[in-house]
Amino acid sequence: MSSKLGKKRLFISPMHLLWAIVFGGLFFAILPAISGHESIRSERVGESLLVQAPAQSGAPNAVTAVVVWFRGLDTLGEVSVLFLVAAALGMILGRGKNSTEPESKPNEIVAHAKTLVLPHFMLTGLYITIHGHLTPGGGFQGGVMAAGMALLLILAGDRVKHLHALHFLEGLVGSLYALVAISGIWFAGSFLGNLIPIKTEAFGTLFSAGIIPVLYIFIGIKVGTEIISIYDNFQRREEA
Amino acid sequence: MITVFGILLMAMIAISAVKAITTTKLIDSVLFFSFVGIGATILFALMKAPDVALTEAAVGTGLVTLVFLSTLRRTSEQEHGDEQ
Repeated sequence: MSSKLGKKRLFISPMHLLWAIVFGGLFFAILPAISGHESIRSERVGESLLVQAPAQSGAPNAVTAVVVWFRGLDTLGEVSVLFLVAAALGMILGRGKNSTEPESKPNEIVAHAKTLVLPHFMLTGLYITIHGHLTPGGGFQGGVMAAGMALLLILAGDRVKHLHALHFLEGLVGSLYALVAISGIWFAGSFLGNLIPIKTEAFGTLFSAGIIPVLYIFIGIKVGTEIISIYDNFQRREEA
Repeated sequence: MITVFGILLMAMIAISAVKAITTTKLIDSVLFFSFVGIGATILFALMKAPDVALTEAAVGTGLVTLVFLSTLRRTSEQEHGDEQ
């Protein structure tokens, strides 16, 4: 911000203070009702889900079981929302004749540290994505971490050269998610049905949990490519 | 579950959230905001929600700060160019 605005960025006016008091009073009035509330045991969803999830889906991580297995349709919607955001940003920021300039004169430390940090970033992201059904994390977190590697490269002065390949991969993986979900209708009897049978003796190993790891790898690639393309659009600048 | 450390952390998050909107320099604002993300990450991990903590660390702390900082840099470059 310019210096004129910089001096007076104080957000204090009598109206704001009044609203703060009103909302604070409301919050403290509602607070005992929330903290003292005990729901009936049979109405709680969380506990029964925690009990059922590992046995039904074959994934020890109950959060992943809920996100990808019980609520796989919601995740498909979430991924499409991300795609919409990336597409809208590309429409607004990436139109016309643009040039992607590399970051001007990357720091010596950044330029050398990228070779040191990059493999670790990539490996951690891949590990978190692939082990989403066993340990905390999954496609979203791992995808963001692996995309962080690419953002580091962009910061260190590199450019996204094969933007079309990136977009193709993104679309391909999104269609594969839908394809796996639809083929569940034929092979398992329901949308997002489990094509790959769950082996109870393989519980807790890497190759278990049916289609959950497959879907999470798709989600990881899709999230990662979308974040790279969003950041690339931010880096573009319109030629004046 | 929530210890003295957790309560202290919550207070610091609240203070830095207020500072983020009242501070005069935008870069300070971004850094205070990223501290809110870091504090939330530690709180989620303390409350035994590692999945949420990972998401908050990757998105709330890493990505948002990166996007804000690079946008800030681009816009300040442009304003610098306008003044000259």
